Amino acid sequence: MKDIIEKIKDMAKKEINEASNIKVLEELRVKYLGKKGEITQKLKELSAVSAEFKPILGKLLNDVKRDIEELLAFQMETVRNLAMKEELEREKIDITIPGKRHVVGARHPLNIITNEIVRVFSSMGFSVVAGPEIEWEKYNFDMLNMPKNHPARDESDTFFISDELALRTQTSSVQARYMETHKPPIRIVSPGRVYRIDEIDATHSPMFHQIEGLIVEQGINMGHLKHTLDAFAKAFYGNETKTRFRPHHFQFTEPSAEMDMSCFNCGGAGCRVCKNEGWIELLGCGMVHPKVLDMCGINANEYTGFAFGMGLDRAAMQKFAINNLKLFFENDVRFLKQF
Amino acid sequence: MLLSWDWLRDFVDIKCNDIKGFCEAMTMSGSKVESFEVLGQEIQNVVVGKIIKIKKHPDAEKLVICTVDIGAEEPLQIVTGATNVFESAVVPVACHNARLPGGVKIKKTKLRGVQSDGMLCSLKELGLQLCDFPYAQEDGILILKEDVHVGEDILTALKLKDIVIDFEITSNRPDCLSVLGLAREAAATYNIAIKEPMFNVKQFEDVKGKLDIKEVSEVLCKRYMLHEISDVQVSYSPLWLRARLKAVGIRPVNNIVDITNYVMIELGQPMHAFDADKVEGAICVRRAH
Repeated sequence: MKDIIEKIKDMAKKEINEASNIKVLEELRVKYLGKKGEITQKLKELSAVSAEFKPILGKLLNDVKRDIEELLAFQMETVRNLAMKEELEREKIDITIPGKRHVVGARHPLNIITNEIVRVFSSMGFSVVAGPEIEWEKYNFDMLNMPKNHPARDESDTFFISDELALRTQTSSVQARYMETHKPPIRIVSPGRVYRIDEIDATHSPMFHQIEGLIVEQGINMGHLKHTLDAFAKAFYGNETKTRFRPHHFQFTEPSAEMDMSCFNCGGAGCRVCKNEGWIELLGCGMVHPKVLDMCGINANEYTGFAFGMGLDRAAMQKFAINNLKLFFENDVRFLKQF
Repeated sequence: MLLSWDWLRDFVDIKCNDIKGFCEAMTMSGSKVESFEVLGQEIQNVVVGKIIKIKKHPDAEKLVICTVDIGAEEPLQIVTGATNVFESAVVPVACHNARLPGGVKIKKTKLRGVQSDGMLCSLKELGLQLCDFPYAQEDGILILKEDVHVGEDILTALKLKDIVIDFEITSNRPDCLSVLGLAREAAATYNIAIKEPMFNVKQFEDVKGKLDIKEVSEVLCKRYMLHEISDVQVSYSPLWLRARLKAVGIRPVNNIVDITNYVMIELGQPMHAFDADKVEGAICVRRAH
């Protein structure tokens, strides 16, 4: 019996020393010290041993049991430390590795221009409103005094979605929408995308950007129009900018004008930018046609107003000396990050 | 809308010392000028000449030596390879130091050992097309049949000098889509008188029975007028008329087509000439579909 106990002890020591993880050690504890473990079994067998050997064997068994317990505890500690060390090793952070740079986007030149223009008009008390890009014919044409046979309504110029729906051809559609639901005084600007059927080239695109402005109040006249737009040009292009108003024609304003500004490149002397004219066409404007006011439910005898519309793409091209419109829509980061 | 300065001056008496000023004044009074082009600038030192004598080149089978009178004291001696020249022919002569369209310079030179003081010009060398001079031979020297004077600058002789102004006419001003319409604008801009065209219409006999009109849609056409002109000789138009049409971008065809175009551009009245022999039945004015 003594030999057997010694054997168990050696075996247990060997197995415990070789055990490399907690799970195996736990199994070994059960195997030797558990309720049906080998040592426990031997302790139970003691009752059958003669009284002469009982104390000796009992002591031996208890010593072995204690040895195994201690060894198990020690090995458990060792394995735990080892595991901890490994885990720490795995999770170690090398703070000397250079960081990965995130590609940061830049503001699109068209957004820069739009924001700047909006900022100028905001300071004059205009609020910004938006309108849908898919628009009813009613708002895009009818309520802007566009006769049914007007060439701008032609299918070759307008992207029609159905008989009554089209991609808006001008931000002016926002005017009609806003006037229909708001009472004067009205003072709004509305930037956005507009669509017209066109071939894409360096200066044309079927999708481009406009900003629309509208004032409707009592006693608004052409003088207010000229002052407001002249002040805008000076705020946007610099104080030395001069403006001139040329008679023009739009269906939804009467009288209508186009505003030119003195060339920002040559100051009016004539250069390549202004095609030697000294002037650059900036925007279209005019006094809101009484018919348009009436159609929107505003009494044209009581209220007057002026409206203006400006193309943003060409303004941005001129401001940033960009020679190809297509660059705006390619979203090449190398292009965008220059602004 | 292209406007010929020469044509405009039929109706208003404006001096041409400041074309840029004119364009600006018109723009600010409501007729926006997009651009203007001075015609004939590419041609310099080309005059009308008359071939007095032609003799064979001693050293070249395909060349001839022409003695050309250009109204100067001494006639020029010009060597040419053209085959359509003849004695007494009136031709454009590019003299020494002449300039031609495309940046071509002409200088005195020797051709196979014979002095040549200049060059006789073809249509193409003057930047012209066959429709501008329908009687010309396309690949030969331009033999002039116009009433021109020897020694005259070719620009004035062939009416190649003009200024063409391109107007942007807005859709509310279709009345400006004619020379007369723009003349009214110019007269108003400068506060000067306009010479309205005089119409001397004699009473014509009724054409009914030869050509007839039926079914004119009043919605599309408020008035439709038709008249028959007989004993017409179809030929090319006179030089001044061809020159004006060419200046405003219309290709001269023949005197019948050209006069309808000319009147349309001048007065803004669209018109069309039919060949009465080819018209069957009466004329309808209605939608095509």
